[in-house]
Amino acid sequence: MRGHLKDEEIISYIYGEGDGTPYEEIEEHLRVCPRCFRLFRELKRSAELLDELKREERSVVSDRHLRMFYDKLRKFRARRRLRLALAFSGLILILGSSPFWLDMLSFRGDRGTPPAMATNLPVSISDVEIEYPDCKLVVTLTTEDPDIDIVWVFSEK
Amino acid sequence: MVKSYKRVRPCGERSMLSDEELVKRFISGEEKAFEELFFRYYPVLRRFVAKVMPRQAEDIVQEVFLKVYRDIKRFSPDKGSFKTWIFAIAVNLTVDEYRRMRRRLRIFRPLKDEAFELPDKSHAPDEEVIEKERHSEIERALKMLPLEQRQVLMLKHLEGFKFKEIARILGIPEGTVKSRMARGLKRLREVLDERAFEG
Repeated sequence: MRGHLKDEEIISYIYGEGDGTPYEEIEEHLRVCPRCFRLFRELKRSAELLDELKREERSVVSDRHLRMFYDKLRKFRARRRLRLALAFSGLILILGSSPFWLDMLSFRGDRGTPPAMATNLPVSISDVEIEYPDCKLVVTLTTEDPDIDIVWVFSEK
Repeated sequence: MVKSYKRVRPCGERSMLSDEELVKRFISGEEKAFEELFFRYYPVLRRFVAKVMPRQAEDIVQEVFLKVYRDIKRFSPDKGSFKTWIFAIAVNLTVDEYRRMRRRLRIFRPLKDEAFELPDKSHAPDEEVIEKERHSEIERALKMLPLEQRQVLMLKHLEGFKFKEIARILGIPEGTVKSRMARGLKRLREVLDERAFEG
């Protein structure tokens, strides 16, 4: 004869969702073990109490809730567009201004040749693509090395 | 003030299409399919979330649908039903909000969740009132359980999930779900007995 039943076994038996000990074995044990039977009864009573709550609940949903949702969705999309625009502006600033200012700082000597961003850039933007509705910004950069292209993907996710 | 809505749908009103079929249609661009899912699950989720966060329930459920709307393509029927998936989202958002609230409460005052308090008792000698009172008592006891046990009890008894599904929703083994269930039921009985003894 085995020891006492595990809590999980009693729970499986109460809810009829066991995949281990056969129910006959559990029933047999409950018949002869007062301790396990007490626990079984206690758990079953608590479970029955909770079932009362299930009967009580009734809930409704109206078009107002759907309108609230669409308002929220609109605000969310607006925020996302703003964030994307900011990210894009930041990118332009980083790619454009930094080399230009670096050029300006390092510009010495021949005053007749002003720094030219396009010619001194180690990389250049070859493609910018905005994907909707995923709201993804894909920027492809071409480097001086023809074998190396850089693809940046900015996404909400 | 009495509020009136143009159209109120009881949660039982459903089309014949399965959740998964509606998901497919929504992905292919049919907005109405999403609305059907919304009306199907909003009341169920609100009821579930309100058991943990009554005041924030509306916001949390709106947030759940926002996530569903955005991430619907991530849903895979092979990994479980749509109901399991949406409940997993609801559980995660509720737990996040619950933790945020506990942190705030710890900072500003000793932890006594006023959000969990229920309306005043009524003592009218009416059978319905007595039954409501009894339910309130069970609800109060339920709210005194640790969140992890409460979630399992609610998912099982209020929403009727199988243990396997609860395990998937919470991301824990089925055996753990069952042991939490047992601990939760025992604790519920203890709390109810203590309260009966006190008053």
